[in-house]
Amino acid sequence: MIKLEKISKYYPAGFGKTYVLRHIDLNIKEGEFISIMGPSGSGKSTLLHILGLLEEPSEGEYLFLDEPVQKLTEKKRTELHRHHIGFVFQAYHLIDELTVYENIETPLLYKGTPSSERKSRVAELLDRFNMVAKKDLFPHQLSGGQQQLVGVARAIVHNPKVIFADEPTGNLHSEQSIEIMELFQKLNQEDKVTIVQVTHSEINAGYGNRVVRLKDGWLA
Amino acid sequence: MFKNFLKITVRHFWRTRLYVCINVSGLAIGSACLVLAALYISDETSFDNFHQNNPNLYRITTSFTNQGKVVNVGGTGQVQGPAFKEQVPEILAYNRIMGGDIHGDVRSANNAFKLRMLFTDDNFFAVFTFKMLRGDARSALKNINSVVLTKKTALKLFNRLNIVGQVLQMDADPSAIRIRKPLVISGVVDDPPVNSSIQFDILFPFRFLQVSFEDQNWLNAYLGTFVVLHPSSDLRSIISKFDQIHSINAKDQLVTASKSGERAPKIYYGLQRITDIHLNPQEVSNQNREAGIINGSKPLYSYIFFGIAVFVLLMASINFINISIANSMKRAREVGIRKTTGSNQAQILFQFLGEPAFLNIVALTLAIILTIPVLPVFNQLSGKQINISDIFSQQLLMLLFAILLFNTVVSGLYPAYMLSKLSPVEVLYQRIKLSGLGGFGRGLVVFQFVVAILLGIATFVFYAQMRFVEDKDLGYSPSQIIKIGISGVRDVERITENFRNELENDPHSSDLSLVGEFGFRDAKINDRKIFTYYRTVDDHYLNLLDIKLKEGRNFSSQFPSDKKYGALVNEAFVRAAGLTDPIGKQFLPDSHFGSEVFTIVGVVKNFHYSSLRDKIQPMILLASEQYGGDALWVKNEKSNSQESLAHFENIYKKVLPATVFDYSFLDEQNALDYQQELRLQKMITIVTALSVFICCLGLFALAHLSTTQRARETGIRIVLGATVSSILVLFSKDFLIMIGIAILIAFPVGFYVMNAWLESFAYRIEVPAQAFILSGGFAILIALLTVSSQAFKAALVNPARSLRSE
Repeated sequence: MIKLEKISKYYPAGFGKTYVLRHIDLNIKEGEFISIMGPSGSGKSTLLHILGLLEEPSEGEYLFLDEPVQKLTEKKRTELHRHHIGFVFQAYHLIDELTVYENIETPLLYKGTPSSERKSRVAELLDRFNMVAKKDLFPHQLSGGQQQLVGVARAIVHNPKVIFADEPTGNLHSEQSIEIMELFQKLNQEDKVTIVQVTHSEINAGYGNRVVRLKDGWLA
Repeated sequence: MFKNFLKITVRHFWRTRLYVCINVSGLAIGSACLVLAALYISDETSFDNFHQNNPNLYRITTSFTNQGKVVNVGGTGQVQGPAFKEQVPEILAYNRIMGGDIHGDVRSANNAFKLRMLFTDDNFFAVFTFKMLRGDARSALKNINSVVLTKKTALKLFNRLNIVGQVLQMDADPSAIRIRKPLVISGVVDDPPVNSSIQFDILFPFRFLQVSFEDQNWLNAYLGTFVVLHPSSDLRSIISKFDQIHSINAKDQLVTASKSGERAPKIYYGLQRITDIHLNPQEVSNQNREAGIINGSKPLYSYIFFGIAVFVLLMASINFINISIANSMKRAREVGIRKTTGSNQAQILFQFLGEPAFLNIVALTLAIILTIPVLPVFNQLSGKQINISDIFSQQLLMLLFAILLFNTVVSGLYPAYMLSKLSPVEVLYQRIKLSGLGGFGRGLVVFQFVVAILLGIATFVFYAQMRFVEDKDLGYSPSQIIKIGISGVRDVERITENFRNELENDPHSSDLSLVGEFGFRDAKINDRKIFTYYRTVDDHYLNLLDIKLKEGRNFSSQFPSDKKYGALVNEAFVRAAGLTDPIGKQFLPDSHFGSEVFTIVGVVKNFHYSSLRDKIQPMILLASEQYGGDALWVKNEKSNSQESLAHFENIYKKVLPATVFDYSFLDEQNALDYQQELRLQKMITIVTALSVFICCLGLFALAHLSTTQRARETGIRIVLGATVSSILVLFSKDFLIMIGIAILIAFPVGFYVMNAWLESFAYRIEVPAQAFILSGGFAILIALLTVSSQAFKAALVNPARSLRSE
């Protein structure tokens, strides 16, 4: 489903370039649960952003669903985000002015899902995540773990093929972390969602079925 | 989706309600100014648009070229209309009007009023569109002694409209005296609309005027001739026909004129749509507004109002932009999230344009509500009579919609575009710093202050110049002089004598003089032609007005020849005539005063008989006992002028029964010369106050934002030992630099502009340095107060609190 060939990312620095990623070759098949690991500054997040079409590589080729991403128009990229990609962030990144319900609903609005379908889909997720009672609360009224649950619900509400998670448990204590990771495992195994996560934790990596290790921008 | 946006907008507004209030109040004030300007302009451009003969209704204009000087006059003489109609087939009808500033005493059985008279050809109602309420429009002006009253006049004189056939008297009108018949009312017409250039209380047949004033001259222009043209006419060919007809008919008169030594002007005709007259009235002269057209204006005032309103609105928009930019960190994260959940740039642009649109709708609604109580004040300031209902005309509603769109785009586009362009990774991972203003925002603050300081300078200079005008020694004393008008053909010498007798030993008055204004005319001295002002006075005049005699003597009854051939002149006349020893010198006056030479018996010191805008021009004073006058100038000795007025009215009624007591105060009349300036001064003062207020709101918001955004930094600094004053400096420094730059820009621009404005006065102040010191100092002071109040609050916060909340 995802294929990287000789992907590099660098920034201009003085007269030369600073490489963040070098010659990454990576294949991700549908249904995989991959953990990207490595020390700080090894390029994990950048790799995830390139995979998630938030950043563009400086060199190399990236095929997403067999399509070369470099050649996509802005419009097509937005389409991919709307239909196939979900994001989960370490800092949750919920919209403060929207309630739990409305935050989860947002991707469906952009996708253009009809109202009745939206309602049932959001209700289903609230039910599944045990958050029905909290649907009218605002993000700041929730604990970190609950906020991240909403973040995950928002990431999967539009039935994406792949979820990109950037240290999804980084701001959570261990109990909440377990809850989120078990949820990811379930989504991967039962709903067949492909998951790519960046993590520092070997325990979290243990939930997945493959680990990709980065060091100084190289695949280790 | 739209609901989602709306929800988030409303919630965001609620959370940032302080800034929303600041934005809405600024935008509402700005929009209200623009609504008023729009009302003013739509009124200005609506003049004379109600005539059914539009767009084929034109006025004939005359352009005189004399020794390279071109004078355009919106009028003709009496002969052009009929001659052109006869020889130019494109003219379907012509109508001559004379009036506007002609007033006469009209009396019914019980009432007497001074009425605005208009003389017109009998097809008046076919050429112009005024609604006839009583009587037959086609025949109303057929008889030489028939008159048509306006509704207002009818009600004033008779208290009813059914008055066709009633009679009126005019005791002192030269024509009425000659036809020896009473005037018969043949109709009542609706009052001319406020936006009509043609205003009158009573209509007379043109033939009535011709009884006492018939003129075959082709070289004159003093009345309005209007023509209705065939719709497919070519204006240029019509005008060339006019010029041909003129050159044939005026030939003899030109020859006669050149024989008598006058250099006759070249004359060209033109056509002007009646709807264009209001903004380009081409008045015959300042002294003589008798060509039927009044209420003339200039497009300049429309531009000024509009420009001012746009600036005020712009300042409010700048507040919005700057608050948005300074506040954008918070919104940037939202943009990042939206982009990763599938929003495209256009949707984000739409959302963030929606917010200013929403604010502007609220602001515009407020603006309209605000306009309602402000309108009477505005009417007073602008001299208009705009109704509240005019706001809801279709034209203006369209304009309001345009304002809304314009406002939204101006205030919203830049912040919305900035936000929509953000890359999600950069904002979600806080790789870019978005707090505070960038160069663009700073530039806008500087611009705001440039405008505010400029307005401050303008206010000060205006005020100083008007003070100068008020306090300037005019060379005579206008205070306590009451002018009592005497119109029509009357035995003014006898009236003056009776008045003087009545006032003898009267404590209300010490002196009076009979004065007449004859305007600028030629005089010839030593083969030199001098364009000079003629006024008639008597021997009391100099004393009455405290005018100093420089040489020679005043008029005196000891020299009987004074009456007929004596003249006083001013210093400017002496200089223009090049005389070294003026007393006893002789000159030939304008033909109005006969064809015999006059002798200069005295020279008066220069005094400002017209506005300070003009240099003092040559002036000749002749004897009013001989040449008549139109007003008694009475010196009031009582401090209570109302009481004196009542007293004078009694005497007047005794001397001149069945006339209207018509008076004015000389100093108030002088002030009329500066009415436009005074209006402008008031406007600019108000606008300056508004602009400064809006600027302050913006500064306050920016200071508030920067202190809240930098609360953590402030906390750390305080923990590290910063003093309150160093925190104050930290926050104020930035704003002071911006104001410094604004001052550097505003000062030279202000000097240049105000100097140019002062040039329009012949007697003026130099641009005062205080204007700059005060407005610059005031700007700095106000900015410091606004910013430091916020900084002070920030500095006093317990750092434990501000650090914990992060």
